[in-house]
Amino acid sequence: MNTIPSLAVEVQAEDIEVIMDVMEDMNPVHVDEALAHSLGLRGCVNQGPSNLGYVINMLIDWAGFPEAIRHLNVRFHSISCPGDHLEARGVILELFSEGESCLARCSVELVRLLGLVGEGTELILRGTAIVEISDELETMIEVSSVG
Amino acid sequence: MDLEALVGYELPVGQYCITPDDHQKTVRAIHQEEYAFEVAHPVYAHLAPHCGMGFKIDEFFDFVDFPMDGGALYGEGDLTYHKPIRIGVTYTVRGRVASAERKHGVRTGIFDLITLHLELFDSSKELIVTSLETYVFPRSENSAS
Repeated sequence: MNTIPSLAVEVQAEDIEVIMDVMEDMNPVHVDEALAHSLGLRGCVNQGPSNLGYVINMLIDWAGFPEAIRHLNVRFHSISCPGDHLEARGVILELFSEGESCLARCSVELVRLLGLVGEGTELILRGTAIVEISDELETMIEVSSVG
Repeated sequence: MDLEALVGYELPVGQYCITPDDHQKTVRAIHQEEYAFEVAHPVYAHLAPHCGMGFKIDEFFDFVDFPMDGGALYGEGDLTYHKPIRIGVTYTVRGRVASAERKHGVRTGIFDLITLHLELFDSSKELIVTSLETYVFPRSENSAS
């Protein structure tokens, strides 16, 4: 199995406010903890696009350039909140060609780490990505598959 | 509300330009401080169409008859990258309501799923990004009829 190097991130309340500002998103559920609890949520809601962004960061770090990402489809299963420790993960499902390019179809997910290592995870989002990969990376994947 | 009547509705045409300042703030906030590429961060395939669509977020909530503090969530995203997104370029956003349906979940109760189909075009009308964004609107039993 070929895995994509995972990426860890801790959600910060101040980052949520920055994204609210950029998106002109005045939804109070991002900053009003009492409101979030009244809605049955466990805390202020980190923006979905930020969760998506962490997965994209993992893919950029792996592929080496942002234009590598050709398609991304994700479904959100849960929210992330300030203080959460998250981990973006990915697995290469297949390689295929499109013109001169080699593309990888990958499954991706973002999980929340629960407590200490080994105590389990909660799924935040899961989906698939199509990513262009370099010749060098393709060779590494093929070598890894053989090994 | 009549969900079926929403389907096909063409959103007002909007515009969006990623300013260098906003881009810098965004990449820092999503923990990609070292991002140093010429093209915009790919998360803007969602942000640019979303922020540039002809509705502001409060107008969109009014449109779907849902309060801002009602706990709506981003449920699903589908992004197709046709061309790289550039910082400092003004894009045109066209969009429509692709689907709107009511669901009943055992755990979540009644909720509406509304999907917007948004497209980002450059000044030569070339398609840059296609973004499908689905929102979840929890509905109380009282508003379900």
